[in-house]
Amino acid sequence: MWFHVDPSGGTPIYRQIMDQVRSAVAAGTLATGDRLPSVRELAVELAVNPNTIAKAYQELERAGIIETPRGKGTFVAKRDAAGVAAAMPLDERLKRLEPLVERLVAEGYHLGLEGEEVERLVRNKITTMGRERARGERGE
Amino acid sequence: MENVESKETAVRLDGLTKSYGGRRALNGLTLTVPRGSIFALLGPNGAGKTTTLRILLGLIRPEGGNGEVLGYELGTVAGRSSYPPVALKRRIGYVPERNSLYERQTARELLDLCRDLNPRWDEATIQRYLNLFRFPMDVIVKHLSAGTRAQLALTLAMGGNPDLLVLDEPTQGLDPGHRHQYFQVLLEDSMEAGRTVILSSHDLQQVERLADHVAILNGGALVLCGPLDVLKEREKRLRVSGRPDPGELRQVTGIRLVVPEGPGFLLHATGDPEELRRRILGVSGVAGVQVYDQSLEEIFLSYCGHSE
Repeated sequence: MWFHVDPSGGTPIYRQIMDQVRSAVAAGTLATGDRLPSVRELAVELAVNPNTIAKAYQELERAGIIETPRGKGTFVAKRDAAGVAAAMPLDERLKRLEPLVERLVAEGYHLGLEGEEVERLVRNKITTMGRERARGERGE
Repeated sequence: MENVESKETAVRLDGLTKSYGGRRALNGLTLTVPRGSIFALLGPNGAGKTTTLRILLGLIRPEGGNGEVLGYELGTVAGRSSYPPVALKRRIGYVPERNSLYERQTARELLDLCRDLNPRWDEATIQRYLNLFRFPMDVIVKHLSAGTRAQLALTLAMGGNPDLLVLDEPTQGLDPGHRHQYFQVLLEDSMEAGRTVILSSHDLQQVERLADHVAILNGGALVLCGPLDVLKEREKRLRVSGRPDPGELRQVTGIRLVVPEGPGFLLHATGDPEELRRRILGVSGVAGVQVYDQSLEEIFLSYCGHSE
């Protein structure tokens, strides 16, 4: 299983698990309809408190990333881009990205990479992750 | 004896005091352990963790205060109480800190003994543990490694299918692989049974994974207690840049500690992170604030560290 937790960092464990699911969905490693381990399975596998796993799953469900049809298990939900857009104004969504962009630009600066090189990197990543996702959705 | 058990609370302690010689081991300890929780008791050496656990088990009596374990009233030294009654003893599993297993007996003999003593003994559980841990059955305890003893002690405690499991530094001597396995088993079995687990530990990374409630003791009293995710949300470090007056920073609600650091200050704080940020930005001379999450280990050091 590809989940892992690092209790030495400050990030709460439930958020580490959320981040891993979100990344995997964005990268196409997890496709719509894929099944996630149950709270119980994942708690035992990672030796992590089941309430922590349950909290991660609840937050992911609230964000529309996973769904739990009654008694059937936990699955990656179909992305509802329009729903996300309706739930949060554009400038709010952009603001969420700003700290990450700040880090990216700062790292780039210290590596002597600025402007076009970093822009190209971002554009390429958007393209390849989109392609990976499409491949995941087709079940290849 | 009438026993009224709360559905929400497994253990309630109120103002416990206990001294050894002239030294105060517990100094008015008050805390509540929710039923079904995995509750970690943390603190530096001598904070009162083992004393607290031994009081729950009825191995020693407090001098003052009162409390309740699974609905049974704790007794004090003066009260001549019959705590713990047999009916309660059978519902508590205990893994002591220093290995107090009978050194000259084998695992087989110890299992036979416990089976005879406890009517709640569950043979299926024992078999599962034996298959998993595979410790030698006919070697005397004295010749077993520290890790194997830990596994045997857990097996003996779980055999009675306890409603309350008390573990005092349970995984000392276990290597990382076996420690992971130990906690996997503990979690798997406790989830199903709705068991309450109280453990003391110095292994804060392990506790951060395992516990849902945490209490930090220092000097025989409680310094911090709550659901771990709430503590993680509210216990922060803030890095402040600019030239504010440190005295003024100390006055801000929620700021516990102000440490000069490089060109600015490092603050230890408790509260809603956004609120904290806003209040600090309101102090004159503050140029910027960054809020940092803390690991449980950092939170612990923030309350029990030696200097700063």
